[in-house]
Amino acid sequence: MSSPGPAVRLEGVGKRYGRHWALRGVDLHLLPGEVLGFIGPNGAGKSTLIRLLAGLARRSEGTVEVLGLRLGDRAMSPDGIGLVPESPQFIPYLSGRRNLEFLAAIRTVAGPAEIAKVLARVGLDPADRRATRKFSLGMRQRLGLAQALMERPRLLLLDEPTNGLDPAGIVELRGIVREAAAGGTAVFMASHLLTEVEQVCDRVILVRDGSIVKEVRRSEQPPEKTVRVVVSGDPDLDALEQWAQRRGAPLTPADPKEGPRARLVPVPTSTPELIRELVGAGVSIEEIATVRRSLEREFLDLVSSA
Amino acid sequence: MGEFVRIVRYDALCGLASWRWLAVPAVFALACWNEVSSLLAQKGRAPVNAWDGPLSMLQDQPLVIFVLGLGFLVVAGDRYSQDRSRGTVALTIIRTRSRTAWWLGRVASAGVLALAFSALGLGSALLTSAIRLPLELGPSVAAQVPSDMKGALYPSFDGLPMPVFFGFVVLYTALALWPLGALILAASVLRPAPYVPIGIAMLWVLLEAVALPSLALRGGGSADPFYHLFFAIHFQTPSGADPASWPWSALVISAALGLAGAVGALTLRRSDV
Repeated sequence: MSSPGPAVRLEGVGKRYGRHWALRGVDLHLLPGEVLGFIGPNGAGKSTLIRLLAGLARRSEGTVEVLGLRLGDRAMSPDGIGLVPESPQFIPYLSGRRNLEFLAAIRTVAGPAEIAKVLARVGLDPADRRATRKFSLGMRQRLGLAQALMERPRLLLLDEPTNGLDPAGIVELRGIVREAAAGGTAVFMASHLLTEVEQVCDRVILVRDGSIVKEVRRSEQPPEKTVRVVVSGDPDLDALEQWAQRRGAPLTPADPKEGPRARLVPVPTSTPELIRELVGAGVSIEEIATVRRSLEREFLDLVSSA
Repeated sequence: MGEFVRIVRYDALCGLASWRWLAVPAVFALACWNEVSSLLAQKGRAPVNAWDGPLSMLQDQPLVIFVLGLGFLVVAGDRYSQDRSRGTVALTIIRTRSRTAWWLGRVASAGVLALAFSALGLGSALLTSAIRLPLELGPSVAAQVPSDMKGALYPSFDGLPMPVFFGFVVLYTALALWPLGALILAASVLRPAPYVPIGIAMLWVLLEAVALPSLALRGGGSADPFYHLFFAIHFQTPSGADPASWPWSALVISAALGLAGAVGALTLRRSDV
C-alpha cells in the first residue's frame, strides 16, 4: 500500500508585501496525521504562512501545494481546510450553535448532529441560546475551534489557538488536536505558547524574519541533559565550583526563585555517576533534579543570537 | 445556486451585525420630524397626512443625498474591510467553491441590506410622521391637488392606495441604494484599507451634493446612480420636464451592479483577502 502524499508541500516559498519579505525560502512538508508547530517572534511570518496555506494569500515565489492542489497565481482555497483565525469573530446576535449552522450551510458537509457533537467536544453547551456577543474570549476561541472541526477537515490550520483559553481549555485543546491528528488530519499550529507547542506537536519549526532557522523533532529531545543541584551551604557551593572547573563542566545559575545555592550542572556521563563524583568532591547536596533543555530555551537562544 | 443563496444569507446576517444600524431609525425619525414641522408651518398648505412626512422627505435633495445615500454607505459600505479584519471573510471564503460566487453573493447581500435600510429608515419616518399627522388609507389633499402654485407635495400613481405606493417607494429606494453599496464594496476590494470605503463614500456624496443639481438641470445626471434615488424623476414635473424612463433606471442600476460585480470578481482572482 502506498503512503498518502503530503497534506502540505512548500518549496522555496516567499511572500512579499511591497518591498518587505514576510516569508523567504520556506521549504516544508506536512503529512496527514502529523502535528507541526510553528514558532517565532512577532512578525516572523506565522500568520502569513497560515494565510498562504488557506489560499487567502498568494505566494510571491516558490511552490505551494495544499491537499493535492497547487496554489498558483490565481487565488483559491483548497477544499477540506479547517481554519481557526487569530481571535475569530462571529455574528454577535446569534447563538454559537446558530452561527455554526449558518456557516456549515455554505458547504453542507456538517449537519445539526455533527454541530452539537463538536460543540460539546470543545466544551460548549449545544443548548446554550446566549448570543455570542456575551461569550468570553475563551468561549469564542472554543467556538472558532468548533467551526474548524465540524466539517472534519483534512488540514487544520490553527493561528494562536490558545488565545484566551484557561488552563483547562489549553489541556482540552491538546487532546482535541491529538485526536484530530489520530484521525488522519494534518495539523499546522502557530502559537506563542512554546510549552503547548512542545507538548502537542510532532515537529516544531522555529522561524525568524520569515525564514525557517531550525526544525526540532519531539523524538530528538532532549538534546542535552542537565540537572539542577541545590547545595547545603556556601562552602558546598565553592566545592561544586571547584569540581566544575576540574571537570570542565560549566555551571549556570538556576532560576533565582530556586534560591542562591541552586546551579544547573551539565551531566558528563550519567546522573548516578555525577552524584557519586559530587559527594566525593565534598559537596553536600540538598536537592537534585533532572532538567530538560526546553524548546523555550532553544527559542530564546535563537532570538538572542539574532 | 443553493450555495449562492446561503452565502447571501450569511453575508446579510453579518452585515446587520453593526451598532450603526441603531442610528438609522433615529436619524430618519429626526429628519422626518423636521419635514413634518416644515409642512405644518406652511401657511395656506392643503391638509396633509402621515404619508406626506416620509414621501416629501424624499423630494429634498440634501436629505436624500446625505441621510439616504451617505447613511447607507456609512452603515453598510465598509463591510468588506470590517469582515476582513474580523476574520469573517476567511471563514466564508474557504467554504466557497469559487471566489466569483463568493463575491457575487456579497454584492447580492448589499441588496438585502439596502432593502433593510430603506424599510427601517422610511418605516421609522412614517411612524414619526404618524405621531403628528393623521394616518389615512388615501393620499392627503396636499398630495393630490396643486396648492400655492407649487404643485403636489410629491408625485404618485393615480388611484393607488397609499400603503401600496409607500411600499413601492421603499422597494424602489432599496433598488436604487443597492448599486451605491455595491460600488463602494468594489472600491474596498480594490483598496482594502480600513478607512478607504467610508472616505470614498464621503467624497462621492460631497461631489454629488455639488454636481448633481447642475447635472440634473442639463439632463446629464441620468447616468449617475445617485440620481435614481429620487423616485420623483419618473413622473412629469410641474415645470413640464420629461420623466426618466423606468427601463433607463433599470439599465443604470444593472450597469452599476455589473461593474461592481466584475471589478470585485476580477480583483479577487488575483489578490489576497
